[in-house]
Amino acid sequence: MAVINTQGLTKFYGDSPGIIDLDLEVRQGEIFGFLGPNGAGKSTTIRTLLNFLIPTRGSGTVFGLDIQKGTVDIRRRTGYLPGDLAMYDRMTGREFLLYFANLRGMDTSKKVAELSERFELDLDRRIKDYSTGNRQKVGLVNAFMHEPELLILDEPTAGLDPLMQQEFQEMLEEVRAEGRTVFLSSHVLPEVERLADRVGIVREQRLVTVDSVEAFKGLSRSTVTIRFATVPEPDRFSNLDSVFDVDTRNGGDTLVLSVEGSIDAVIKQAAQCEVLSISTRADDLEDVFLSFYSGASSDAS
Amino acid sequence: MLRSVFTKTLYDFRRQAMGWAIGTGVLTTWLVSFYPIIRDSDEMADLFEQMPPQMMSAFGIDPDTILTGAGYLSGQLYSFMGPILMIAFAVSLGTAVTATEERNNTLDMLLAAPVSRIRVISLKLAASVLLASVVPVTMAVSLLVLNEPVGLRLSVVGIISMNVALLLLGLLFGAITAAAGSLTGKPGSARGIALTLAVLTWFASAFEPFFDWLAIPNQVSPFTWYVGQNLFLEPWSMGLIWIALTTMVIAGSSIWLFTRRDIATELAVLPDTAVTRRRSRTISPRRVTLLRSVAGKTMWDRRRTIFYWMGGIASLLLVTFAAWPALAANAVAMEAMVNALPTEMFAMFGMTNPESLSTPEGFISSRAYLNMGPLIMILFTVGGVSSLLSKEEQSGVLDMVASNPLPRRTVLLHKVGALTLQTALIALFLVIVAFAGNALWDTGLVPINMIGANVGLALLGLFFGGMALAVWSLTQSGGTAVAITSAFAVVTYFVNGLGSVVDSLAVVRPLSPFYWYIGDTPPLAKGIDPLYGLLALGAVIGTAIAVWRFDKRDLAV
Repeated sequence: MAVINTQGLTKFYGDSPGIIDLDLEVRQGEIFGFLGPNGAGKSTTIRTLLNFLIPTRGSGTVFGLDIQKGTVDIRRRTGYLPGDLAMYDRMTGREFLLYFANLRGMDTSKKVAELSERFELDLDRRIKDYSTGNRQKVGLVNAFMHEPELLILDEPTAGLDPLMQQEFQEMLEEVRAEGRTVFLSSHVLPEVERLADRVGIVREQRLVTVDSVEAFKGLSRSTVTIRFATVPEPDRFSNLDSVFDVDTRNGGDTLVLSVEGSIDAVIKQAAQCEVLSISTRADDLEDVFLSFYSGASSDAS
Repeated sequence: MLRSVFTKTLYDFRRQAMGWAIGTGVLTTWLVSFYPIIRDSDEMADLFEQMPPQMMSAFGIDPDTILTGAGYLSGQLYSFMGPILMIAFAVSLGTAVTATEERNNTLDMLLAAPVSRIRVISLKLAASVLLASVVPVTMAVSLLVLNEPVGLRLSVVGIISMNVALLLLGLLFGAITAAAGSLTGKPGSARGIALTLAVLTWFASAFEPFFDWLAIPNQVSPFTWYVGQNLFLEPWSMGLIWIALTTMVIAGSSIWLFTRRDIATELAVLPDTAVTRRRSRTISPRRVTLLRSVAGKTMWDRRRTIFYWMGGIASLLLVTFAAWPALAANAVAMEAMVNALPTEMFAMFGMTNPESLSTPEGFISSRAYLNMGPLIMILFTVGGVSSLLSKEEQSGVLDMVASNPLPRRTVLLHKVGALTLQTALIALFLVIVAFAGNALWDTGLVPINMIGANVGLALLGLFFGGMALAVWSLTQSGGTAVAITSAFAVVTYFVNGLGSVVDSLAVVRPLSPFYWYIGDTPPLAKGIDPLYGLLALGAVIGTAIAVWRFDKRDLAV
């Protein structure tokens, strides 16, 4: 079942586009990574889903409810962490969370105590005196404290130390295990790689591709370095379909090959010569995403 | 303009400095334009002869020279309004030297650049001196231009000397602000320390004739050095040297304190205090019952400041009550003054019925309900709309509020409701103060009139608050809302006042909200006027527009 579903969702600010023709489906119980460079339209999408922005055209549903008509019910079942976190600086963390729990008409004190202990967060200080990381923790507690069915998180680990990032990742995995859904906008690619089931990439206000993390990994390239006893004919490898770049070293007896997908053809070709050594290194997901960001292989999907 | 700390400071204040120059120029011209009326009226001369000398000195009036240009200007401009403008601007400049940047955490960035602290603060102080001089320079230029045409008969040296003195007075309090900012790192504390000192030293100087115990404080008050003699007539004073030297010592100490300061912590590191204390401290939840709703939170925000607003208008009201017996004793002089001055002059201050000034209703209204009172009340409501909604939208915290399961209109209506309640509380407090003042000074006011005037005042504030709300929701800009509403308030204020004497304005006068509030009768003399209903209606319409618009527009990015 789709928790978030949009059809041709488009938002213009006057003449300048925020997001164009977004068709997106986020399924129940998954962690959906939403990636893209700054200004690509991630926050616009999120703020449109929450009805902070009125769509220029197109439509969307969350929990099957229309994002405009059903917004109050949607927000009741959603936890939100804004990317550009602003809070009431003169309140303490505890006052802030108490107020927001009251706006939900809930008593979340138990959950707040549990979460703040988990994050090692002292709630009885003024928010303006918190460090960036502690502010972020208050924001996260606010998003998690009512145990929402859907979490919409914009740059959630910004400012958190590695220990807290790990704690946060465990929390997300627990959320998924309970069948709840996470819409995660992030720049921290290893985090997305580790957590997300599926990933959508936006670039220049359009959704470029959506696929599972595994599929993205399948797209990944690897670098194969082979040292031969004698200098091989260069054409041997550059003619292969899977090889798209050949670099020669050591006066020509060492080849550095960039290979897309399987390296089977390369190995079979190399076996016809005397090989002194061979090493392979898989490019990580980061390289794949970077190529999408820059548009170098936007046709690869 | 962004080449150095010096030019950057000038650049930051370019609009403000322009505003102060315009304001100062208008005020000077306006006050000077009344001079011929005062000079040529025999009744004014009689009036000044009859006023008690202590009262005159408290307002900087010298009976021997008041009817000359030098006496009139030193009394009307340079003893009160001028210093207020000068010190207000100097203090805001002094706050910006280091404290504002420290609070905003931009000081860290600035000091990370390869510039020494001494250089940073010295350049900022120097730029502030240049900016502060905008006020006296504008006054001096205005006086030089108006001197001949109006017949002020001022000497050029006198004009220069008077304005140098005004500048020095401002720089002194600016330096105190900067030093307090270097010491505390907090803009609020810096401003508070400087303004408190300014009020206390002014009081010591102005009220010395009334109280013997002020003799010694009077000697050390910079205001005494400043007003010790009429500088238009005797342009040389040792007092100026003293102010200049004190200012330099304090400015020097602000530099010294700044070089020893831990940036963005609570205390300056003075030689004998090793500071390890962190500024954040544990605070138990406060007034949690108020945090149950958006309206409650809005009350929570102003749980302290509302008392300042109440206190401000209430003390104005009490002082006016207290002044009535003295004026009643001089009723003849009072009436003579009313007859002597043109009605236009009263109309400028909202007094559309000057004859009523010799009644307690008219007099007390004239001070508390016709100009300062409405000004403070409108600042409260329009400022409330600005801080509750437009600033929250701008900072992004409104996103957090809007992510909760509440319709947007609920958020808006809660905030408006709380603001209305706060306004009503202020009005209620003013009613109580009025009853007390009435009993204490025996002014014989009727209860329903005291209630009515405050109902009218509150509704006037809410009318402009509603208007600001509507403009904000339509334009999405808090700055635009405040600007349009203030401009509308100023224009309609004068339309009502001048409309009572200028025929061409009489047609539009009934459209002014100030006409509904004041009309031709002092608020303390008319109970609950049916026209107040129009003010309430305006507030409701403004809110309705805001709700309608706010429900279906984008929250700002």
